[in-house]
Amino acid sequence: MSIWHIAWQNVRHQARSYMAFFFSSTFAVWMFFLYASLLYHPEVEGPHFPDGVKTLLSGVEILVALFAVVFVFYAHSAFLKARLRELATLQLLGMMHRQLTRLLATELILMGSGAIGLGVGFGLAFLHLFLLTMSRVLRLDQPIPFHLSWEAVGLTLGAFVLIFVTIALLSRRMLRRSGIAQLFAAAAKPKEPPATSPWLVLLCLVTLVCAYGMVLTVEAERFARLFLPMMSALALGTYLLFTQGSVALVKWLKGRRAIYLRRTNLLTIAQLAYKVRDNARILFLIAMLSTISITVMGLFYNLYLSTAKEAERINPIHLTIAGSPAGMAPERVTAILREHGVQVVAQATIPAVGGGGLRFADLPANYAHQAVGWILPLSDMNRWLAALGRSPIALDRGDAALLMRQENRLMEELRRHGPMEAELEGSGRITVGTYLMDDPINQFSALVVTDEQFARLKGATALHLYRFADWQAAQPALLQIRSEILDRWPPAFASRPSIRGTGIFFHESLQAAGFFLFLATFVGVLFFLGSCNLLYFKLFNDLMEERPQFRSLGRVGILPREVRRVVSSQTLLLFFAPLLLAVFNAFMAVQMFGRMEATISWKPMAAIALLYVTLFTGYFLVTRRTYVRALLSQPLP
Amino acid sequence: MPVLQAQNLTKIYGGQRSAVTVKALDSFNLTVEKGEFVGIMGPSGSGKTTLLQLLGTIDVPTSGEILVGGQSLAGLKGDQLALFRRRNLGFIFQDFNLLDSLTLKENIMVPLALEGKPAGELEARTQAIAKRLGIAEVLQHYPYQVSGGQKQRAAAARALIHEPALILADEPTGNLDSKAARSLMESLERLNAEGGATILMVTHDPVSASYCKRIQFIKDGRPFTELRRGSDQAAFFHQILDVLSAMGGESYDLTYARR
Repeated sequence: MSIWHIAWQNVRHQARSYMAFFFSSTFAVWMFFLYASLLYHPEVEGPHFPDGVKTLLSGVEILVALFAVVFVFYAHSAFLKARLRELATLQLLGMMHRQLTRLLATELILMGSGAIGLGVGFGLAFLHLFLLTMSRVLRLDQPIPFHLSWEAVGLTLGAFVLIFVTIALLSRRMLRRSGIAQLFAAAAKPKEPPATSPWLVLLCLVTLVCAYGMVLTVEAERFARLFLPMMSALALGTYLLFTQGSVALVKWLKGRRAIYLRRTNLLTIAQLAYKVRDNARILFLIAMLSTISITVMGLFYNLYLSTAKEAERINPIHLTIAGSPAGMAPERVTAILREHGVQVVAQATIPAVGGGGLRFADLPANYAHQAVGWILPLSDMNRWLAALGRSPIALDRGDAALLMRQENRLMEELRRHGPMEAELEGSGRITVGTYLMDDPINQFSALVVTDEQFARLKGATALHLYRFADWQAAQPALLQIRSEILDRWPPAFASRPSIRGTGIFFHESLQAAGFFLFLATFVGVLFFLGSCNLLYFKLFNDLMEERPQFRSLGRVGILPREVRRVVSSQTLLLFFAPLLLAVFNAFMAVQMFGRMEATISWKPMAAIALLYVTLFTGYFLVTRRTYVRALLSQPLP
Repeated sequence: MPVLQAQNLTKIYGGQRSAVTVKALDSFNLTVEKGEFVGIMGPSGSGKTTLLQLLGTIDVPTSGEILVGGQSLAGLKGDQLALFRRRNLGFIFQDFNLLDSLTLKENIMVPLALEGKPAGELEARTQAIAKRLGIAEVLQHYPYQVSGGQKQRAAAARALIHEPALILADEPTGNLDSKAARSLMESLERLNAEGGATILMVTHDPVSASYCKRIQFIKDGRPFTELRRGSDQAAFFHQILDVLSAMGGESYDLTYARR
């Protein structure tokens, strides 16, 4: 009888424990490989994907890898715990450490290679579907072709061999350190309930107040710096909340004798108290995973939905073409618009001088310079403003007006100082007297000068401006105009005409937002499944301990429906306490990001949270049913 | 009216399909009156455990009838059976059968709590029974924190707290050292004598059996003989030893371990 034989026999006879570990590993491999395949897909660096996607994907892949490590380790430790008695028995029968570690390593090799093989297989089977979904999200005409990248296979293989080897080494160390007696004791010894400490309660309160305080007050500029402290405080606070809070809850419940001693409550609460530390760790993990899932998906869904609004904000004028591209005369533009049946509400051609900058001598160096997109003459500009139905600009306090889309420090200074002298690059001094928060030409900033001043500037070109009755309907026309311009002008050519349009921006940012939403959903689904898997482990690991307990109760005469009630209340808490917290956190995130980005609102977040909770509830119902069945499946002795 | 009447109990293991059938009990009769303390003894495989499982409604007889307090168990199924068990019977098992995750006090309270009795009554009754069994000081402990003897007392307290018609004890001293065993048996004797508890105990240990008022011996699924105790426990103990050797000393395995 070789060690291989014993290993194989072990795998066969403890199928349930092995199965759980095996499928968790398979799942981790599967997800990792799927993502690696995308990462190494040649198309990712192609034109369809937003810039920097490869870096982003690498980041997500690292996240998935971290997740896989934690997940596989947890699964393995749960698995080992379920088998401590068996391992101790083998040692008792005289198996040497060397043989035992070889046995464990052999098992791991068997299961690990199986998991890697099956995971990669699943990955390949789903890769096509994955790519098709991605192509739809990116609105590609041609779907991304299936591509088996050996780098992805290699990366997956390398990563997971490393994980499994590490696990084998760690469990070897664990076995070496503990004697047989300890192994037996560990298998049988119940844990003592953790004590509450006033200091930990205080720390919990302090960290939570800090975390939510930061969430409620942080400003956009300090967000990046505060993000890590905020998340750490939240994690620590949540952990303490569940460890200390659950002990406190149990204490409180035990104090209320009318509740505590009422029928099955006695069993429910006593068992909760007993397993409180175990539960707290799981509750914490689920809370964090769900918080991240719901928040990330909700935020990107928010961005996805707000794309249209954002397009209108960035490009309030539905089409602007700068310069006079060869072969793209205004007549051709008009012709294309007519072809598509686009209704033009306002149209103008304004002479403009591109680029340049203002330098204010009287201001501190860090905001003394302001880039200017276009310089425009007053009379044409006022005509255009009139066409848009806005009030005209008056240059009565100087000889130039600065138009900005957003508030900045310079605007504050101008408001405080009144008219200020500035150096207009290439054409001498100028007095900026008027400043407006307005963007009538799809530019972040523009300078309007008197007609005389404008006449002195060199290099004038024309700005063609259009406003449509319905910009969304005009989108195909805009895309056609753009492609005709791009066809004629080589990309590197300096005087390539710039074209901006609400529809074009919408088209592009919808692609990007869709892509990010897809990534967020992937991570969300991963964490969701991870949470479910953790709960499954928790429950079915407990099953080994619980079954004799409920069998004992069965001998004393407990009814199946009473067992169900006890198990229901316990699992309900396990599933929904962290979920509730996660939903709360998600709305706190809306509050925080909403302050920085006006487009973020609670409705899309609520939709995502609802979806998540619904799926989670479905999983809860199925799991509870399976669990109760497994619990009651064994007949009385 | 007797607390327990078992008439023509027969249990055959192995159904029509299996090749091997074992007759564990063969037309067995047993009657236990209120306030009795009855011991059941016999060699391994004699049918003791089967008898206790049938009486405890954990298993169903192939034929025959069991009446507890005049009520037949034949028609009861599922929930009815479980309810009957927890209201009318109290169990003491060799392996204590306590819940690890509950303190001794909570363990003792379970039967009454499931019945929905008010909190005050639970507390009062638990305290009273714990005091009588000498475990009032360790009520807040978990089973793994106390000795085997204390565990078995807690199990006894749980079996008694709802004042069942009949207490079924299955080798209650099987996992205890001789001192703890003696002490437990003295407690049971007292509960029987002073509290009027009716006890049916299966045992292997002649010392433990000597605390009973009456012993029914069983061999190959049939009644072998019956002993009644006089006033002298030591004499009773020797009588028991005599019967055991008469039943076949060789087959009587003194180092018998259950299951």
